[in-house]
Amino acid sequence: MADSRRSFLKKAGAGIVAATILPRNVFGALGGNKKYVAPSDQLTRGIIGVGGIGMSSLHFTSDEKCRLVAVCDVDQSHLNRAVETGKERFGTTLAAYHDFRDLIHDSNVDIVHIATPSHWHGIMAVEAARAGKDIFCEKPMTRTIGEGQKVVEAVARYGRIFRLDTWFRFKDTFYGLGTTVEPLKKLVSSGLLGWPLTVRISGATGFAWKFYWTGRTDLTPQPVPAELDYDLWLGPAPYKPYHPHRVHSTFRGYWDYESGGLGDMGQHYIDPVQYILGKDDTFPVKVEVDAPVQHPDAVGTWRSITYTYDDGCKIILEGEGYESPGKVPYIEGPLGKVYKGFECTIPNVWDVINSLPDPAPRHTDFLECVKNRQHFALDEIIGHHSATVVNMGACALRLGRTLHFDPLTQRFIGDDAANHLINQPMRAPWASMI
Amino acid sequence: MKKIFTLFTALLLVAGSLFGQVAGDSAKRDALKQEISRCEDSVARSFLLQQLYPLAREADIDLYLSYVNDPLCAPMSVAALVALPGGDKALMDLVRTEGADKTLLCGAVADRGLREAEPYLLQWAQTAQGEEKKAICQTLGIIGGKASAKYLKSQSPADYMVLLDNLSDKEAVKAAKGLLKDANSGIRCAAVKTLIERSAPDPKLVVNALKTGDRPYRNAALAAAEKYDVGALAKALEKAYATLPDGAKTDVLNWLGVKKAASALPLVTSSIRVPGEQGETALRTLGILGGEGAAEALVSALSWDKSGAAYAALTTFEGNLTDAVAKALDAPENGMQLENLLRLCPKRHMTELAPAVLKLAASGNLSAAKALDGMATLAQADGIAALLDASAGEFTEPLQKALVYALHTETPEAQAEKLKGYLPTAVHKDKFYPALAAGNSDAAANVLREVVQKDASARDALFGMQIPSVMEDVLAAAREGGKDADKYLDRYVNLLSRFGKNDDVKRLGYAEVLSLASDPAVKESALGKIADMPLMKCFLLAGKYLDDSAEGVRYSAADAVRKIASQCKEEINYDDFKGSLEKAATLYRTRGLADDGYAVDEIGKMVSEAKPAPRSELTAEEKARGFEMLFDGSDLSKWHGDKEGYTVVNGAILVSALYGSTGNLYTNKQYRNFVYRFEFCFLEEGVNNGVGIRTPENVDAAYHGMCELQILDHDAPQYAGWLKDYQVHGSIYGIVPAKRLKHKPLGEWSTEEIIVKGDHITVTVNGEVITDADVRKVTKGGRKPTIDGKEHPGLFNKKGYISFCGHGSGLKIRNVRILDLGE
Repeated sequence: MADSRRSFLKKAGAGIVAATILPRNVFGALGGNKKYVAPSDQLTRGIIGVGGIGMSSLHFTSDEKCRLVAVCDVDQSHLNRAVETGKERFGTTLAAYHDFRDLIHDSNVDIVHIATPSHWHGIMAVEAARAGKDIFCEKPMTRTIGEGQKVVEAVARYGRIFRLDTWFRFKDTFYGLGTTVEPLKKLVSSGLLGWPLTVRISGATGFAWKFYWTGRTDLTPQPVPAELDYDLWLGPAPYKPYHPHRVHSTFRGYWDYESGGLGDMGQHYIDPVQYILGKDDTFPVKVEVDAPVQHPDAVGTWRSITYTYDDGCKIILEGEGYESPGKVPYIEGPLGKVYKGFECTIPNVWDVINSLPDPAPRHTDFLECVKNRQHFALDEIIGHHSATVVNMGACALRLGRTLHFDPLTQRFIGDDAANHLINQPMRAPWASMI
Repeated sequence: MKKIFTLFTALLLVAGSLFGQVAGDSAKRDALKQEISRCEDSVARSFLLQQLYPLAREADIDLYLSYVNDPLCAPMSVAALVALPGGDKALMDLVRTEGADKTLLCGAVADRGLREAEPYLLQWAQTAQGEEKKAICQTLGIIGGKASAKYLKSQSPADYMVLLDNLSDKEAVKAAKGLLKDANSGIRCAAVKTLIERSAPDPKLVVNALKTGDRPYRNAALAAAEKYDVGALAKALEKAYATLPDGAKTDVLNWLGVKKAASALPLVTSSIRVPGEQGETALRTLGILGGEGAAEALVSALSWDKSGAAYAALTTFEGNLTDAVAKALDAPENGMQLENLLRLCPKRHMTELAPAVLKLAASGNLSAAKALDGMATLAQADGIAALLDASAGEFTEPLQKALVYALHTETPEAQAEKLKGYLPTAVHKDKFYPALAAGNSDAAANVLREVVQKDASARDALFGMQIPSVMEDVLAAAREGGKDADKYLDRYVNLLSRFGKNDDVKRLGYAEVLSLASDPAVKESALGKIADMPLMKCFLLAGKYLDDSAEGVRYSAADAVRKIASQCKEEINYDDFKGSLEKAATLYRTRGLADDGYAVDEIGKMVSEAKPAPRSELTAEEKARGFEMLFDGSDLSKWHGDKEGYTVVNGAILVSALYGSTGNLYTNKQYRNFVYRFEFCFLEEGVNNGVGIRTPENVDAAYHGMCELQILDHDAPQYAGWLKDYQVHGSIYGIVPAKRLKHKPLGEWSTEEIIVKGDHITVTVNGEVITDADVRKVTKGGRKPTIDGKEHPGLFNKKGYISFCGHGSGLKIRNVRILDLGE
């Protein structure tokens, strides 16, 4: 239970809460010793999607630095619960919206927090950018590669600050590594492991893949509950008869909305690796899959997914049924290996690491970034890169074959079917919104 | 309605199996097209068209066009037209004829950049409302030109901004100027970006933007100056700096850092004293720029009230810090600066400054003592040792660490030798034990073992070491019991998990810990380690603690059985599997934490997918003759001996290799004459076991029993060429060769019957008699030497147990029956 997804969120939540009560110099300067925040310095936020993650203690917060002012959900029961909780916890009445566009265009909202299933992320992020709002988006960033490209474009055009919500590239213990990624980043940059490097994201290295998120193929259509606007829940996704397993906490199991366990943990696990390997500005050139044939609707399991970059660096995801040959290194280069718990083949490795300067400074406080207009440490460009690694894997799984990718054009090479999956059919009127 | 849904469900399954069976895109495409042509239900058809979409070719355009008016299928149709070569023409035809949903067509026109659609969209715009109007505006922004400019400017400025990409620089700049003060921040940013990106480079444009009070706008302007020469723009910004509002100064400082504009060093340095955000940004930028004077300025800033930014800048500073830090250490401006310097020195491993820091430590500065860990070298070792011996209170631990660090470049032997050298003269020898232990070498452990003989207080240090050889010391101490037994067991668990030779060693070690420990926390820790070994025997071990009296232990056991069950590739006995997991599920249900629901679901799925174990039954013939079932698949209650090496798994006895076991399983009763029947199956090549006849316990049945009847996969390549004929399967080992049979493939079951009457033994495998001999006759009453030339003193035993002998793995046995023929 200790390594389960929810409990780490809880843990991380505690960290954030602690961080936000520290006095900040910027604000302190305005009011002398009193922790007074002038209303003009106070940011406001609205959450779209108040189901699981949007209602979590990590995100359903409101404080003097950033006030929660609005919530939106297509499930009336979720929306009512959020409003009730807002009253209890913050003593305010949150503006409640059914249609996300009303929340985005609410002039009281500075930051739009997108906490819906991922088939909505692209459309909502683009709409928020057009409206001049800054964006806090849950992972995975988008469901298709094409949507990611459009988010990057819109955020840049309208000069917005974007944060993708995963954080292991700049804080918290990175699962099986047993430390933050910073020491490993320093070790890799020093060249002491050699080049190219292979990273194994695997249960054997302390990075379990959750396969709860597989879809069911035996769904008998059910009546849509009165409180749910299923049409708006689906939005751009193709119409499928309603079944409770398709929505809310189990939606990840269907290709129409996400890509199962890969979509769930993929960006958490892969984004920091992209940082460690220095691949924030490029993409893998090849993805290979070893998996059972995937059902066209329900996401299944996979044994392994292997990504290769043009310089030979590899990221190998080892999933269900993968036979790990005993003790495998988390990261391996021609000159050295680092195992689970940062066990390293290089003698006195910590001395080496400690003697190196820390990595270049990054902006890791989103609210500060919004105020001073600096790129967040995990912005839309970096987020699109790691989301694309996830989405490339999803394309290869669905087609059941090796795919080659051109990092410059962001298109697959010599595979029409794969290229068709870069953008996928969207229902009216949403097809025109991104 | 119900009928349609059922059909849809059926189609999902059809499509699923179709994807599973049909290989290759083109075969799948053909199969899907055939299904589509037969399909009469719109929901199902849209699903099939969605599946066809990635595989579609130009030739399928007509097929897709035929469904473009079906609201469920239209998204697939339009997406296919966008994706397929030749789709543009069809799309334009649809636009001209308004032949499909307009919002879908807009999306497609935008995706394909079909500029020729502009007049049609403008015409649609005249009457469009709501979603349709938004779609038209958004699309006109992407594909429209001058003709759409006026309309978009008034109807949707955000899209108007996009449209400017399609206009000439002059037109775009003019239009952008008009939107610099739009109410929407995004539009203002896009406008200033257009203005700067599409005008001839002119630093004044950026400077003007910086003079506004609009921070997003200012930063958009700076970002838009990407193509500007950094040096030239930096110069212009420096010149204008004094005239800029405060916030803009911060933006400029940030930009100078991002662009590494070295020329701005004097400006940045002069800004570091400004209170608040601006000064902090200047410090950060100074750290990035480096250069002459930067280190001194940052080091000096460590003496300020808010020195965090300076400290952070120094930790990432690239360049020479030593001189500046040395100077400040010598004559610190204040106490805060000294504290900060003493944090920075070890962080940056400034070994050259270790003598100075040692001096500070000697003068009673605790931070200096702490700082030595991370910067001391061999040259300071003796000095640190002297301080350590004389140290008191909170100085001791940092100095121990400092001493270890000072020696860390030496070999383990040299480290141990050096530390041992301090002991004879040290007043407080015990202060050196932790330093020895921290070396984690066998050399250091040996020094400590020697010390422990005279001074038991060195035990803690020795037992805390992280090396394999200490495991024995710790376990021995734990077995002695006493008040520290649990503490030692806890250490043993950690050492075992790290250094245990193999999974069997670890498992047996954890089992001992579980039986010895009285502190539940120790048991929980052992169960946590067991959970990491996805093995059948670990499952069984953990399962024993699901009823523990301590709640924490029960839940650790539950976590362990659940985790092992989900990962174990070995077969686990169904009854144990189901029993333990259901107990675990009950525990989770009772507790009801956030993840417990998942756990219960996961367990439910695992149990429902497992197959109940089969049970063997006597045949009618056997019942009639009075056979007794010795093992029907449920348990080993009629057996004794090595129940670690012989476990029940799904109706069979699984024989597994086991570290340290004796390897024999005996019947509870002794027999003289009998008919003994069982089935066996080899799981791997070369399996070796045997049936001991009339044998006492714990001896080699082949010699001290009447005999051992071989169970051997004699077909395995490893035996080719050297196996003796009296060693093949069914032989009376060393005495009577069996007829060599051909074994069934691995994993298939064979039957065997052994009849022992007096001195006569008959062995029948799969219905074929392979051994039929009277051992008294063969050996002439024991006078004739046996063919293996060895003594067989038990050959004429009157009575004894029947056993399975051996400790190799890979054998399964089931359905064991006996007919006791008595005397």
